[in-house]
Amino acid sequence: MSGNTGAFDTSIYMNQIEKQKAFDALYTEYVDSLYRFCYFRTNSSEVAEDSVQDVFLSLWKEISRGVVVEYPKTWLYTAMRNKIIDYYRKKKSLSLDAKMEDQYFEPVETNTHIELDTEIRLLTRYVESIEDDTDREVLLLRYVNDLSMDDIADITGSTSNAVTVRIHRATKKLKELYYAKG
Amino acid sequence: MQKDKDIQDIFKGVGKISLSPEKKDMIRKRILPQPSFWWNPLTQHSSFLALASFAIFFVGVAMYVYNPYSAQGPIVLDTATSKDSNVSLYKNTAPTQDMSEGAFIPPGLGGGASPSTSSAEPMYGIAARQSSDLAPVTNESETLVADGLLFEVRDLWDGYDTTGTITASIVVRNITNSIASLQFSNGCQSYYVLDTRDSRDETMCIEALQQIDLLPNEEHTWEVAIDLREQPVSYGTHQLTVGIEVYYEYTKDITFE
Repeated sequence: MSGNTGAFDTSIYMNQIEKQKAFDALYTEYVDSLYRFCYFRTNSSEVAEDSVQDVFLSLWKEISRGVVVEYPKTWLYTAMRNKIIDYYRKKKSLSLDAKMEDQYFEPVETNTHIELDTEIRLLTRYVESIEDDTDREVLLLRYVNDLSMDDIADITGSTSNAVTVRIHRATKKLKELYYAKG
Repeated sequence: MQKDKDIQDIFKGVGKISLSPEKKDMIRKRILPQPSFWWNPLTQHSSFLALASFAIFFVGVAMYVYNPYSAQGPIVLDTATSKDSNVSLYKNTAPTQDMSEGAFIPPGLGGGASPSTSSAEPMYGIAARQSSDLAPVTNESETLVADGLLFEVRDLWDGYDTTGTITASIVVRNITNSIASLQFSNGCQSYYVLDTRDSRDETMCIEALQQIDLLPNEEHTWEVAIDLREQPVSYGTHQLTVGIEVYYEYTKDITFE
């Protein structure tokens, strides 16, 4: 587990105030990066906002139960990753009608809550163009969330070498798209 | 592996994607338990409530200080409590004048004992609570809630067995001449903290508004029992806090032999 921020004591020996302080520290440090990660993966500010809330709620439940969260960074990103997988699983199980309705409304939802400049909007589209889902994920973890190879390997359950290969492949594809169309 | 500079340039604007401070605050508030209405009315409700709270507080203080019905004699402020606590206790002292006529001269004007610095038992107090990050309430809003209620901690002494049971009684008495009420937002009304062991972390509390009504001069007692058989403590001095949620808290160093 190299590259993590280290063990974080949220044990039962902490009182309520100390637990809240521990939670606040993690919330302040990771709320934006997790939101950004989810936003790029789902292309929806509302889904990202709800997911951030769910992930931190799970974290608070763990902390208040006295569970020792050893590697909070990995824990949070893994929880967010699972949340995104759930989101797509639920989306797939929607009926055809609902799916069409969802697709119809999604572009409106995406652009109403964040005032994004054209550059970011284009970038979002290019990232979406990377076909392999895992390639896209590791690229975002590396360049949007600024995580190390080891961290990404821990979060995705892969090896550092595999992550390096995927990032290389994804960056090549992204550059092609960016400089060809941009 | 070094980061690709071209790709870094492509991603340079992603920092703009973030939650607004308001939304961050909103999410945090949804997750963390919030103090109830009774904890902090001044910060959670309208200015009307704030004004009403102050008005009731001042009336309450006036009624408490000039209470001719109290058989305990004049009440003086005792600022000496446990060393780590900012709890203020109001301690009853022996009557210094004939109260039968209803006359009462405040201590500062020669009618009572000077504020004591002794913390000898028994301990009496009203509306005392340690300040915390959870509910940064002022003394004013605290005394408002428990005005006219006299608290007493009984049965605490030194020389406990490290694997025995500590018991304490927290007694509240209505010293006004009207009905007084205590309200609780859940079933866990009393609690203890022995060093870092907090009974509130070990107990599931049922969320339900509960009220205890006390007639004039009526008492209510909470028994606090700490069983040390499963988790014995070391010999020496330990800090024990017992309290009634929202209303009262008392901290004392106790020794184990």
